Amino acid sequence: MFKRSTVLSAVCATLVVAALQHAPVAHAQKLATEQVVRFGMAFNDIGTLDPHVSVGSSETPIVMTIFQSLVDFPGGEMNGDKVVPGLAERWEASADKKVWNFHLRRGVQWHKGFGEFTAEDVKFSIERVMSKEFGSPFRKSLQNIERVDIVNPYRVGIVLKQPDPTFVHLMGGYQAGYIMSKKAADKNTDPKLNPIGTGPFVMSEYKARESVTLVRNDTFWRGKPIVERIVYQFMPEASTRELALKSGEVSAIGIQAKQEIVDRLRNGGFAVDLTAPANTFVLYLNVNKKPLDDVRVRRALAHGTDRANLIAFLGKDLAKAEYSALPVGYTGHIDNITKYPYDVARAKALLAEAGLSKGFTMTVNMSNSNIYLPPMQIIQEQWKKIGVTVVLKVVDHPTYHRLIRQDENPLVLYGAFRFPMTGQLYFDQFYAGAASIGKPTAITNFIHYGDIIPGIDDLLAKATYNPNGPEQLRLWGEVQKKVAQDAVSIPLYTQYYAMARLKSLDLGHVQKSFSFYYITEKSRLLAR
Amino acid sequence: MFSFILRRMLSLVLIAIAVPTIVFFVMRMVPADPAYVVLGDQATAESLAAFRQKAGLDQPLLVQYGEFVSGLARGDLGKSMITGQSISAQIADVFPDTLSLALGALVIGALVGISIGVITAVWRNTWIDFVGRVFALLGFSFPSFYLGVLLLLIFSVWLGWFPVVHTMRGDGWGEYLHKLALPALSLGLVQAAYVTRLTRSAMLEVLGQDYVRTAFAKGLAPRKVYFKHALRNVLITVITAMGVYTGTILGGAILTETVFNRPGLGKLLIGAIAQRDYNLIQSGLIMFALVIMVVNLLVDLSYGLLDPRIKYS
Repeated sequence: MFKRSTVLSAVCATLVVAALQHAPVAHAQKLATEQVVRFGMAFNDIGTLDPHVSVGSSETPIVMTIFQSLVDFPGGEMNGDKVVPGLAERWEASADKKVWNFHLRRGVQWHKGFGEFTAEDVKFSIERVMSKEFGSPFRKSLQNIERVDIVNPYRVGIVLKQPDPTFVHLMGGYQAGYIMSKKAADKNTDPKLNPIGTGPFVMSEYKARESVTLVRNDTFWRGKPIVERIVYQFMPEASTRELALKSGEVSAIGIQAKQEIVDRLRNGGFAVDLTAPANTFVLYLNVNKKPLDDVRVRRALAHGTDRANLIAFLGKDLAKAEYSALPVGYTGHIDNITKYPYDVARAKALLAEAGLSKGFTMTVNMSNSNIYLPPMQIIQEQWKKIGVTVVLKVVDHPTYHRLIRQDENPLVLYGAFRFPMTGQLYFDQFYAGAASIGKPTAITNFIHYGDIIPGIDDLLAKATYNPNGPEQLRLWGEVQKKVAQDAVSIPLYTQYYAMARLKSLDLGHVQKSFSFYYITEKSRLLAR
Repeated sequence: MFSFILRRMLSLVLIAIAVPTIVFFVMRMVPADPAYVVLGDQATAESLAAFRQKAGLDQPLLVQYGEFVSGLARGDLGKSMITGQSISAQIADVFPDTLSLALGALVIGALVGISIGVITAVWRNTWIDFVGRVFALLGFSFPSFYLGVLLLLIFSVWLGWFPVVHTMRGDGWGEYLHKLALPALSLGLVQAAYVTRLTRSAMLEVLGQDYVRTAFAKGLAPRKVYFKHALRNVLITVITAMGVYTGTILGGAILTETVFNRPGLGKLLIGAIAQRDYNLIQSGLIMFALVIMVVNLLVDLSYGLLDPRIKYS
């Protein structure tokens, strides 16, 4: 039926197409001769690379390159609802969401010859974070764990005290989720500066106030990385970092999230990446300080705050407005709450109702950090129009954190990101009565909500560990409505992280999340 | 001379006790908590308490001071509150880099400043004098960190003659000096402006003296008059001032090390202040104070070499 030549042509064409589909991508783009990635980090130094203690933004990209977790976030994106297998190949939960079984990947090797990763390491790591004596800052996030059972060397069962349908989020690659080597700990290896992980890169060298160097893990279970070495150079001076990027001495830098800097670098031919989730900035109104105990005054301040003006100052690409107590992107966030649109007349009327027709003055300690002071100065100017004078006493950032925890401020500007990204932790820390400043259980409830004035503790109690997912979400929604109604906080904006790189640095993923670039086995430096 | 040195050494000891004491108590008056810096804002009360206990911050102030002083007396500067590393080792590692930067800046400041100062004085009220005085004015106006960024932009980014990133380890002497050039120039040129004005004023005063007029009248060559007779007397004033400027140079070194991202005592101190690492801040400030004291002593001793009229009795 067909001519022999036609059949032969079709076969040849098919073979050629198949060969092209399987041709190595690298042939299309030439790799740089030296696969050494140098980063210009916007910090003076690291404090520790112990993943169960590390809280500094400077350490996060290094820690996540050395360590791994049971479940991973999809490439470049921190999304607890989309986790993929990491050190666990698969997992399942009991029907009541109280027992979680993780089936571990076999043959994964610890760095520097500390043997194979097994269930013992998982049990050790989780119990380490949970230990009161150890004092991890992430201990509370695992407070619902009853115990960890080793079923066999490649299977662990995590038993919870209360049902938690979102428990797997906590086992992701961030803070409490990292797995450490029990053998390394038994041999007293210092996790601060000699961390032992299973990740694509191995700790090689630390020079105080200068740099951290990682080298390739040749036996990484996902495949040998293309990049040979990563040098994290500490460069606190922004101008110097930018000059180093322009001269090509570093491949990427952290930058200040300002529109003119982003525009300048983009116009200069560099790739700029803006990532989230990031810090959400909120004004917390301390009801322990008059006249903020009056809800009319709080609503007046909310009406007197112009978010659009703030976003314009920060940069249209760099911030998004927030209105609800639970930021956008967190599981449980809702939009249908009482909002207080910018309205100077309404604000003045509310103040007059509260007997403050001539306005009032308040003195506020404020951090000199460039992500705190400028927006607060903008708000200071906005509130002048409604008759509220804010006197700012500027202090350095660590001092600010101390003063606000001593209940010194009538209002507190605070930028925070919380993981896992659900209502539970966020409300527990900022709005629960037990977290009120001054209490032994204090965290960051600067409002004294639920302590001095009735709060949302009853709703939170019903929502916490509620096995009924939709009901839990509904309750978190009620919390947000009540917080908005009481106007105890003024959510302002979420400001993205900003970073810039040479276009020849191919990350191998699209960086949507995290405070800085991270390198995987797929990352590579292309020839310039 | 010996009794003079002994008296100065005793005053050094007194200052060496006073400075750490002041630094210790001032640091603890600042309302910030290293525990929060290290553990972050989600830290539990227990973990904060555990950190403070480990760092000795929960002890009464006088007990902390006693431990600090006894450590100093043993030559033990303790460990970093943040990283746990030996402070002595950290300071020993970076101090030579700060010293080389300060010396480099001093040499540049002296060579450039004295040269221009002498030239502007000799050719006073000419265009040469005008240019020299503009240079001095610019030097006063330009902060050293701004000059540093400009130098990096021109010589590192545009011309590519020098690196932007200044890692210092494993370098040979040539590479070390190459990396020292721009930071030393940045710091030294600002100092040169001070030295220029000082030298010019002192030179003008000396050139107006009778013995200089006599030297010219006797037919001595101008070069001999300026450099053998006049300049030597000018140097006494200039060296005194440069000794005082040591503090300025060390302060400028802090900024220069930050701009050039160069390891040094200044950068170490800046990082320690940001992290509220009390131990490192105390030790760093004590080192700075010691250096300034030693330099001032050396300056005082150098008077006798320059001016035979000076006796240390």
